[in-house]
Amino acid sequence: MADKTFNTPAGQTIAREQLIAYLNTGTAANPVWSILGTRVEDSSAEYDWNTSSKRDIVGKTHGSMRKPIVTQSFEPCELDSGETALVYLYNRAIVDQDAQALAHQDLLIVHGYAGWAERYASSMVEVTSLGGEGGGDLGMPINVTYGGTRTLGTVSVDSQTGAITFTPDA
Amino acid sequence: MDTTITNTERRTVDVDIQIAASRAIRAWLNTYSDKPATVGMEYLPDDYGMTLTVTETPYKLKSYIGGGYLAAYECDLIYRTIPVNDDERMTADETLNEMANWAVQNAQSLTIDGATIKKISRQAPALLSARYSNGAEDHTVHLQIIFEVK
Repeated sequence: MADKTFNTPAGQTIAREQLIAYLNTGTAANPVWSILGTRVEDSSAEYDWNTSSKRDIVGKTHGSMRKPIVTQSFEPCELDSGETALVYLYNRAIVDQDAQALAHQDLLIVHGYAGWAERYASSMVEVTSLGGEGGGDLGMPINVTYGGTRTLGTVSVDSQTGAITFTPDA
Repeated sequence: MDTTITNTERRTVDVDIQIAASRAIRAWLNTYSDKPATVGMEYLPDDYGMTLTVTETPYKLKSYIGGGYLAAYECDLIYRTIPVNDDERMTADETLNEMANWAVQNAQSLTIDGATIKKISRQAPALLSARYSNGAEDHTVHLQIIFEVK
């Protein structure tokens, strides 16, 4: 596979909003990609490569890695009736407490700065709490573990509706 | 010359939003039925009037990973009048305080293109802020308007 390139000018850093995660609040066949991270100031995908190393008898160190387990936290995730992803998760986690459904969520990470996206068809979305400070907003922080079949592709955005469409690579 | 931008320096709001906010806030203040005069923008006649002044460039309080932000618009509402005694002087402050109370309680009726109002607050009551040789006095109340751009 050819290396990806960044579509930004050399010498210019990349805005954080060029990397966005979406949750499928529709169906697998007809996905509706709803944004994750509204009102979240800081969130990063963490890569655990399960590294190990050993030194052989001739003194050389050998390392090994495995495919990463990618996790990401989003908080505070202040509830808002206009935030489709949060309403969706609220119903499955707080109302239904449907653990099986929450362990099988369809997520999309869009790398806008490099023109590609990755879909994780069976990710785990854990709602870790519901509440917040007195006088503040009601928050519902979540932890995501991306998983299941990983499909690379591209996205297009409907100029009128803003709807995201993911197209897998051939 | 040290041009380092530190984390403690505030990030200013998009100019389009700044302009929209000023126009919207002034127009909205003028819907208050008990104001003593029409609220202008950064100008006052020599003897009597009201005006809105921006005390610092609107700045971001929080920046979100999706590109949106929470911001603050800091402004003074000034009432210029020529009181003839202390009672009239106090009435000027009371008038401003009532208008500021209305603003705080009716924050959700303010609309700014491209933004959502979260809260209007003030930290201090109206006060005499300036006096002029013609006897005119400026009474001022400071408002902070918190809004969100998604």
